[in-house]
Amino acid sequence: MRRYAGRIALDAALLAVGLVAYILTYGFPSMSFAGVDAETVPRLWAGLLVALAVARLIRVFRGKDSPDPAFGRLDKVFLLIALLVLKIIGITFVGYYISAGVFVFVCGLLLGYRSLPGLALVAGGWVAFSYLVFYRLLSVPLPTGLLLAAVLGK
Amino acid sequence: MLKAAGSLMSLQPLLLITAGIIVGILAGAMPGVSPSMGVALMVPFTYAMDPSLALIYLAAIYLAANYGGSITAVTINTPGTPSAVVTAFDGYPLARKGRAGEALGVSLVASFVGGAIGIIVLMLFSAPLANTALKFWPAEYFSLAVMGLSSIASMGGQNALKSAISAVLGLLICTIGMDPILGVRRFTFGNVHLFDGFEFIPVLIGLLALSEVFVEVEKFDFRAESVGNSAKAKWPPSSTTGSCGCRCYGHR
Repeated sequence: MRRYAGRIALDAALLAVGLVAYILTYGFPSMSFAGVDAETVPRLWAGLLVALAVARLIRVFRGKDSPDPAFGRLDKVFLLIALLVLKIIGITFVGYYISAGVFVFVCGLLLGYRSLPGLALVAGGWVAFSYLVFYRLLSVPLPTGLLLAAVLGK
Repeated sequence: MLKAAGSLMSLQPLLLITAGIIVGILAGAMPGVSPSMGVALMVPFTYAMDPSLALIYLAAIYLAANYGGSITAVTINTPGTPSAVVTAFDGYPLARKGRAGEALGVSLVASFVGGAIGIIVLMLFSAPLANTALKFWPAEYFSLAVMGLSSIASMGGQNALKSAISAVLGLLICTIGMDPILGVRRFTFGNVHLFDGFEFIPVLIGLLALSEVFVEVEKFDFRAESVGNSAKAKWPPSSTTGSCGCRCYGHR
């Protein structure tokens, strides 16, 4: 079964999503006047997702599915995901520009790029591009973050 | 119609069409900027223009942006516009084989031919189509949705179960946000950003671009490859078109 660990994990995750969504639908308020309540459609799709995920799991356990392909550097993938999560959290505190710049820099290091001046240039260039194109030209209000707002008194 | 076409054949409209096409391709190639958003961003630049010239400029942006979305779909598997999703299915594998130029060429020709046919059909049949649209009631919308979902079966091939799971998961994601009929908030967890559900472009970026990044990082093989002229758009060779002129690239 080790050869199917990835498939089982994925199908189990889908099953969990379906189950959680199905249970959550019981929290939706019911409208007595409505023929079809707000929970009917999500419950239908969540139920179907559960059924299909179970069908996939049965198929995998019977060995009818192809085994997982050989995996590579999963450690790097998980580090990248962690870095992404940190970036998203960082946007709230230090703002988009700082967190995006740091993300690009650290991401480059993580992926094996060793020229620090080059990385700094790419990260700085991205921040400058974001500021000029998104903030100045397109007037997209990118978050400045709680810390920067406190420092700048905004 | 000929009179209108004649008015296009002067320097100013042709220059505006060229500028509009450049801006449109750039807007379409930028994931997150849709053709309509590209047009909306350029509207302020048209305030001082003659109305007909402004319309020419904005139409050029809109049409070019629809093609621009396929550039990133072919090269980095990230559709710039929703309509370019299908281009990525065939275009990106071709790019990985070093045939990005051909994929871009086919995409360009297909965008032009499809766009031209679409405009002609719209000019000829817009009135009867509008009358038909007025006759669309819930039963017709339901039939249309069933037809769309059944097309997934043809795309899934041998992985029918996976296709069905993808479709159902997509439908479940679509229920996030405010219920359009009763106004009940579903799966929003009190987060205001989820009240309107998910926008199409962020979902595309999350599902296609991010997964592609993860796949490449997992391989962890970033040796520089010389692509030479392979990413330069090429006129599709005659072998890629059948007798009807529309043979699908992926089925060669």
